[in-house]
Amino acid sequence: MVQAVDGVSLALASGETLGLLGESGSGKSTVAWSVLGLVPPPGRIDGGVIRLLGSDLISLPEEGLRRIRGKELGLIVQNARAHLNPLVTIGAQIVNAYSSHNHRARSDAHEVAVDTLRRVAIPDPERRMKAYPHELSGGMAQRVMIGMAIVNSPRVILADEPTMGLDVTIQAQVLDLLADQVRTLGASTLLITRDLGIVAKYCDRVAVLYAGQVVEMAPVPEFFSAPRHPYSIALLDSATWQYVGRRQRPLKGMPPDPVALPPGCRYHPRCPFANALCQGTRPELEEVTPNHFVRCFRHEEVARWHLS
Amino acid sequence: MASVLEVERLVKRFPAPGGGRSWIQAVSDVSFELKKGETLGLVGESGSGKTTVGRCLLRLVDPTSGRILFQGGDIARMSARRFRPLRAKIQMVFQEPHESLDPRMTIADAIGEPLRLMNHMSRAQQIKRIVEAARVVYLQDKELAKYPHELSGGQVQRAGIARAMATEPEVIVLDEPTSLLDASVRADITELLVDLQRKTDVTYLFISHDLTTVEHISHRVAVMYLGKVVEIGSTKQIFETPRHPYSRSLLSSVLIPDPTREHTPAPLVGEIPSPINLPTGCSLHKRCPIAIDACSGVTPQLVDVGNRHFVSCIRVAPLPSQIVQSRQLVAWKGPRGFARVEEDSAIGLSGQIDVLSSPTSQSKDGDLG
Repeated sequence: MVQAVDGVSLALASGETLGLLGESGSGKSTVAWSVLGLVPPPGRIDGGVIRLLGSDLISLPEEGLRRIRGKELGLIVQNARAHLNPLVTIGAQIVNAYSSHNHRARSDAHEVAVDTLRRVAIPDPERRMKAYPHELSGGMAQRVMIGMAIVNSPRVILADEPTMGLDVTIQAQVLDLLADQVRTLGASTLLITRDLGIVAKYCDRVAVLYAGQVVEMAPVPEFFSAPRHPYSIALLDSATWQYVGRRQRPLKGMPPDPVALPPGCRYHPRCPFANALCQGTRPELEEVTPNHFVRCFRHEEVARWHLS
Repeated sequence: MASVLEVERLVKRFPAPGGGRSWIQAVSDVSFELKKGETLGLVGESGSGKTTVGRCLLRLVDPTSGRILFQGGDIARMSARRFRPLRAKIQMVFQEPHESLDPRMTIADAIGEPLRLMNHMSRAQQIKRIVEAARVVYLQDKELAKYPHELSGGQVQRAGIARAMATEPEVIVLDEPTSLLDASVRADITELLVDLQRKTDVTYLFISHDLTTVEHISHRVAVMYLGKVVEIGSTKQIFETPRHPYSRSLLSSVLIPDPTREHTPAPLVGEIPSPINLPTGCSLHKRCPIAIDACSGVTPQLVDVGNRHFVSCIRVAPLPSQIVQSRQLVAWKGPRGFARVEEDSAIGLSGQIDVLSSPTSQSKDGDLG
């Protein structure tokens, strides 16, 4: 059995954008699918609570969950063209997303859908209603997906690498649009990404995931200026070394195999700071300064080393 | 530095899907040279034609016209039979490491495959070369007996590089070799490529939309838009003083991992248009923030704006003939008399150059004089 995500606790404040940062296999997508109650079988949620506006989503029956998905919770995934139904026009798909939560006349739904396409900057929305997903560019499909996610004015938006695979200029257009719409709605966003540039520009706080666990969580400015987990520092290093010219501490080795996790700290086999304690004892996530959490026994030495 | 490979006025058209007489102009009139031991970065968005340029160099697609001069011959015109021995001298590394290697071949066989196509090597020589090539990319000997699915993305990409290096090529075309890898692995592969170049003096054409890596690895950079090179110069020229409006927009879209850095993108309107019906004149004019009427009529050419920094934009680097043409266009449209308008627009042109950046005085004199 693979434990993809282990004891992850995140809280989204109203209107906040929290970045969930991790490399391939860190478990970041599993977190998003869990929130939606859509963990693909044979996967399952083994414990924990997911609270949305006071109600626990895990104990909710499927019927109750369905009322929330797409209504209070909007989802944006990467590669939208693959996730839109290829046989149905985008207009019909947005109408469907709207009318499954609003039992009103069909004509009203049509208007709402056109207006939504306009909000996500699709040119000539009335005509585009009749387009099929394959007729859209990658950037446009991604904007349609954002439209489907916001059509019911959700309280929380889960965006799983929403610009993966898009060109940089289109990436900026899509993320700016998403940020705009989220601000208008006053929604909170969980933005899953592996790109520290996106975190720097679009997130208020960031949580770093390693081998299924949050290893550091901090407000964005503090994370970039004073990171405290050795893995965070290695990530920052691999994202910024080109600007500096050389790498301080190249990340050695590979993430652990989830079926054979190392004892003690899961990062210790790759960590330049690891000692005997790290090899034998599991560190807990602790609050080291207000709002800044780290899962590392040696975070004080790490911080001192980083600043020097 | 001696030139290893020269591309002259390369054109590649594909028939547009659906038949009829329309064409997709994937590459139009692209020229550049690769110098011994250098890396030329080729950047641009999806659909800019950068991958097609790389594929033409290996004859994975046949160019429609133009010349590719390499070791005294023209690759673009060569028969398959004559090209075959040269094939070992130009290699390619692909984007998707797991898809570019045969899943049923061990890593050793994959690295050795191009050697088997070179008839003169004995099996013992081949094995020796495979082991050497693997060591150069820091693949351990025990990985050689494995199949691609048993290795991580970074390891398979190392194997792809070893395979390209095994025939001791002059030129390697690297088509987005790092863009699907995690940041830490990307840094490893980039450092490996730099290291290999230092040791072997191999020449790279590094095709990528990952501008940060391009800046780090390249000596010179060419920016492509809709099948054309719109700007080419040293890495410093392109990244510190980009002149073409498209290059400026592209570079300003890069998100820098530093929240204290002010990020002000210079956006273009809309998306890259279809390469089936290219706009007339400059292909950027419909999206360009500084386009004038003349841009839809005049096809810009690459012009040296100083120190071998070439820009294809009549607003930045007008040719003398283009100045005359744009004056006439202004004159026809303007409400005032011809002489007066001509004077105004000449002032306007020099003013426009100042708006864009601080050009070297020589380029202004050279272009306007």
